[in-house]
Amino acid sequence: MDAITSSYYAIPVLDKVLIYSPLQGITALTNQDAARTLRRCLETRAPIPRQIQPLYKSLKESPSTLPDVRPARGIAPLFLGIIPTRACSLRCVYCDFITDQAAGNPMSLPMAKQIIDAYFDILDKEKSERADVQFFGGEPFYSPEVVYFSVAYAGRKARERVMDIHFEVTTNGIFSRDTAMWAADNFDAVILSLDGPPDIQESQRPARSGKPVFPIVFENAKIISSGSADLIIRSCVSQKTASRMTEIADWIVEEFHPKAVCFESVHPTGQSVGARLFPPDPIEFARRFHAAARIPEAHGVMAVHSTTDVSTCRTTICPVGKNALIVSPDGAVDACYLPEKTWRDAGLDFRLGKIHAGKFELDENMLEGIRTLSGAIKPGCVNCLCRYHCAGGCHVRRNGNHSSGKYDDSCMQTRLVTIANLLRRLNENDLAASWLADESSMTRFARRSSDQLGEMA
Amino acid sequence: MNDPSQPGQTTPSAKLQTPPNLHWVRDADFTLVIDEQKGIARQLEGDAAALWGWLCMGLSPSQCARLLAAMNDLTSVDADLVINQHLCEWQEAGLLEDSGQTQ
Repeated sequence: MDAITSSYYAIPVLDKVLIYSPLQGITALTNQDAARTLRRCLETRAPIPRQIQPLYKSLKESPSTLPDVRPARGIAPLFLGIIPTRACSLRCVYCDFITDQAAGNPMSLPMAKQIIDAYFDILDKEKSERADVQFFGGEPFYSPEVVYFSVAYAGRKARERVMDIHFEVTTNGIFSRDTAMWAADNFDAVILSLDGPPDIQESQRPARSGKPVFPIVFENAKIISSGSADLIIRSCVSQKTASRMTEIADWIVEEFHPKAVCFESVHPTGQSVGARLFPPDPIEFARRFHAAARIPEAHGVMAVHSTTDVSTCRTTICPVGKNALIVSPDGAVDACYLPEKTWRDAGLDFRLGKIHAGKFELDENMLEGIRTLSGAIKPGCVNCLCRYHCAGGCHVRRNGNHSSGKYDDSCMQTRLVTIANLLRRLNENDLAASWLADESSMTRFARRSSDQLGEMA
Repeated sequence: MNDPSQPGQTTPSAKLQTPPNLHWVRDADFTLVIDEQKGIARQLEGDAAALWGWLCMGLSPSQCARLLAAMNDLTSVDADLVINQHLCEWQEAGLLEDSGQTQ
C-alpha cells in the first residue's frame, strides 16, 4: 500500500477541492469525486482513472524540496542586522517596541565599525561572495550617522573583496529630502511603514512632536520610489481600516508604484488595546486582502501578507534560526530584532553573544538551539496546509502550542488568505471571492481540524 | 546639490555650493560628477565618493570628519585636513564654487 504523505492537503472550496502539495509546488483544483478517488488511489493500489492520472503522476513523481535550512556547522550568517538606535521619532499607537527611557544610547561609530569588521571576518572565513547588511530600529535614521557610516564602510569592505553587498533598511520615512535621495541611491531595498492616506497615517502613526508628518513620509516615499532601491510599503491594518484595504492598495500603487505592498494585521499590544485599535476580523481581512491584492498584482506589484507567501517553503518565517546576527546599540548580538525584554517575557532566549574587541563572541550552543527551536514544527501546525509558509509565525508573539486544529483568529486569517492566494495563482479569482463570501463555507472551514488529504471526509 | 559644505576650521570661510550645471550619478563603485557646460566628467571613488554623498545630504564638514575619522582611524584633525584637501581640490576643479555667502 502506498503511504499517503502528510504534506498533501485537500481543502473543500464550495463544490470543488483544492489539492496542494507545498513541498512539490503542486496546486490543483478538482471536483469532490476526483479528490476522493485521488486519495483512494494514493492510499491503495486501486486503478487510477484516466482523468486524475496527470495529477496522480505529479504527486507521485515530482521531487519534494525541503525548505532551506542553514548549515548545521559554522555561522554562515543570513545577514548582519544593525540596530543604530532603539529610539524613534514616531509614537505609533500600536507600537510596543520600547519606551524613550528604555531606548538607551544610540550605537557609537566605533561600535558600528567593530561590528562590520567582525562580520567581514566571518564572510572571509566562510569564503562568502555576498554581504547583506540590514538596518532595524527603533528608527534607524533617528541615528543617521550610524547608517551613513555603516553603508560607506561596509560598502568599501565589500569593494575591497570584489564582493556583492545588499543594503536594506526598515524605516518610518521620517528624514530629510536629501537623506531620502541618498537612501534611494544607496539601498537595495527600503521597507517603509506607511499605513495609508493622511487620515490613517496621522491617526495610527503620529509624531512624538504632535506635528503632522504625513507630508514628509509621502514626499520621501516618492523620492525613494524614483530611485534604484526597491520600495516595499508596509501597511498595518486594524479593524478600523480593514474596509479601506482596496483604497489603500490603489493609492499606494498609484502614488508610488512600489515593488511590493504588504498588509499586516495590527498585533494586539497593551498600547494598541489602549488606543482601541484591534486586529480586523480574520474573514473580513481575507476578503479585503483578496480584493486589494488584485490591484497591485494587475500592475506587476507584489501583494504580500507575510505569513501567506506561497511562492516559497520555509521552516521559520523570520531571521530567527537562520543565523542572522542582529546587533543592538550596546553590542549585544541576538537572533531576533525585537527588544530583549519582549522575547525574555515570552520565555525565550535569543541572545547569541556579543561583540568584543572587533570580534563576535558567539555561543555555538545557542546558535544550534535556536536553529532547532525555529525549525521544529509547532504542535498546532502539524495538520495545517500553511505549515511551510507561515511556519508557525513569529516565535515570540505566537507560540503555536495550541492543539492541532484549534486555530485562533491569527491562524484563521493566515489560512484563509493562503487558500485565496493559491486559488489566485490558479487564476480562480472569482471562486476565491465566492468561497470567502460564503458564510457556511467559512463556518465549516473554521471547524476543520486537519487539512491533510488523507483525512478528507 | 545646494549648500554642500560649510566652513570648518581648516576650510575656506565662504559657503560652498555646486554650480547649477553640475549633475552626478552614483554607481555601485563610484560617483560620476558631470559638468554639462564644460563637457567634463569626473569619477569619485572610495572616501571621496562617500564624502560627496554625505555633503550632498547636508552634513557639515565636521560631521563628515567624524565619519571619515571612524572609517580610517584618523584623528579629527587629520580627518579635517583630508576633507579640506577634497574641498579645495573640488573647488579648483569647478565642482564647488563660492556661493557668495559667508557663514
